[in-house]
Amino acid sequence: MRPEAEREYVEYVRVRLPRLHRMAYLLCADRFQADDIVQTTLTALYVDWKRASGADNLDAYVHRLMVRRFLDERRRPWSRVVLSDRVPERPTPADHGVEERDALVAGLRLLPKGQRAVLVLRFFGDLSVEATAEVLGCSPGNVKSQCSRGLATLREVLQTREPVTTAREAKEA
Amino acid sequence: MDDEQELRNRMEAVDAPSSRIEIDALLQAGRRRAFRRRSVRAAGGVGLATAVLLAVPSILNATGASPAPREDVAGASPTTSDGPVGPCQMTELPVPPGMSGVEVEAVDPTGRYIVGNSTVGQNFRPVLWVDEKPSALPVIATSVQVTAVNASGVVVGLAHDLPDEYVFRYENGAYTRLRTPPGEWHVYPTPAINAAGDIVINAEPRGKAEGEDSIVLLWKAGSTTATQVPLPTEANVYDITDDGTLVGGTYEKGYAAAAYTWDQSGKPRKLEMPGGEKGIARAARGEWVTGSLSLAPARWNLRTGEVTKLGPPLPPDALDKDGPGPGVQVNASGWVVTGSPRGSLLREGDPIDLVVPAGQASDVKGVSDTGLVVGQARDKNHSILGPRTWRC
Repeated sequence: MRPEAEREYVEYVRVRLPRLHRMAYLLCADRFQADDIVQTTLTALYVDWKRASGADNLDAYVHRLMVRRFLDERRRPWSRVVLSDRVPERPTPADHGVEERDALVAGLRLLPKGQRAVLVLRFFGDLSVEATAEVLGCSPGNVKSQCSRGLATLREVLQTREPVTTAREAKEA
Repeated sequence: MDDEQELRNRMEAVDAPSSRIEIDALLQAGRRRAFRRRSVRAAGGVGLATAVLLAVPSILNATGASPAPREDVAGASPTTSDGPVGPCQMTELPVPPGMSGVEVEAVDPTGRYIVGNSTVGQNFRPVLWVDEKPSALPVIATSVQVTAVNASGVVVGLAHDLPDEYVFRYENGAYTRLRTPPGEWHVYPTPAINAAGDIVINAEPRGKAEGEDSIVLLWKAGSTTATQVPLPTEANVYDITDDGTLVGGTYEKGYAAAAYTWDQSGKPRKLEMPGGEKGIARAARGEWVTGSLSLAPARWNLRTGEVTKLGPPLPPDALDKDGPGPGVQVNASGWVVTGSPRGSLLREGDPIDLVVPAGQASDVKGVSDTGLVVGQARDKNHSILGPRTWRC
């Protein structure tokens, strides 16, 4: 990459990295997997920077890259082989006590990947129903139904946990 | 407070664990990946030193009913049974006027037909070469992507008119939409076609993003109605041979498990998986099947049952999952094209030397039975310089 283009890439990544990492963490609900998809997304972005930097909406392009990477593990045989060899080397997500400290993350983990992706794109990425549908390659109707099912599940999960939080807060107060 | 706003607030407030990622490491990973692509040709030179000592199976004798090869190919010693292969000389493939960024996607077994795509924004624009003369195919949807072509010049691909997506056949100047069964389906990854014109692809119900409940669809030649092939749960198919054999594998909980071929009644043949290794088959031609085994590109021989790993495994801790890709195409002589990120051409595990000008690298996408290699040249920044062919 030309030094000038590389400076542009670094500047873009420097500004966006914290938010991309947060998005990845909401998608994966696992710190290691989140780092993985951020890393693979941004490495792919480096290699394809010349084309990507000309995109009409670079953020949307990168979000799309990341969400596809999150969802496509099942569809890309090569990646799946790689992952199958990597998974045993890692502790299971349940071993990361740090991730249980947020009820929302625990709730997101209970959702199917598709619903998680819809909620994260809609409410963290602030994408419209139509834009979310485009990123996911499905219909707006499908986004709406996934969104509604995901919200319903989350509501249920968070409500059952809420009293615990309230009791602890009351005790601390 | 409404659910949506509360979710927004809570997502912003999530206490995300600190990231291990540093920008310096990202830069190194990106540079290394770009560098590895540039190194393909250098690695090919090293491989050739030993490759010339090995015998090469005849491509011409193995092609069976394929049309006669080009004269210059037929006269080249690399295509005879015992000669060395390469170096293969490069030719620029012309592109239709006004098109830029064209990437070659595939070549038919005879080498007469080549397909590729240009892009406009994030949408594909299809190109077909016949005897290396390019034409831009009509654009009938927001995005039209051609992915394979058979020896009769029948092209298949994917059209997107979001949210609509479908497999099409392009033949005699006209597109035909291939219908999926009732319901909403997402087809993946790309359709494959055999000499007769039979077409296969996988489909999963819309909204099931992990291949859950996926099925394998087959359109017999000329048909627009799919039949579902009776295969096990989580089986996926990636290619169909000229005798109608389906090539792919099974998955367990989303991970590649075992490479298989099936006949169209679903009768399986499990390919050799030594030592409990995992893998998947991606493509076949004649007696050869290619795919991946553990982390290496692999090749099976259907006649002998023998399996060969064609490269070193990728280190599990590779930051960018770079390295030799899986085998994605094989010709009648068993030459294997490896997929992204490293589009190279392997014969018995050694890269075949594809000549490129100084400062450029080859990125292989396909090889015909006649030894015509198609792909693109890239510069040292990995930018595409344009479609190319190499004659071996």
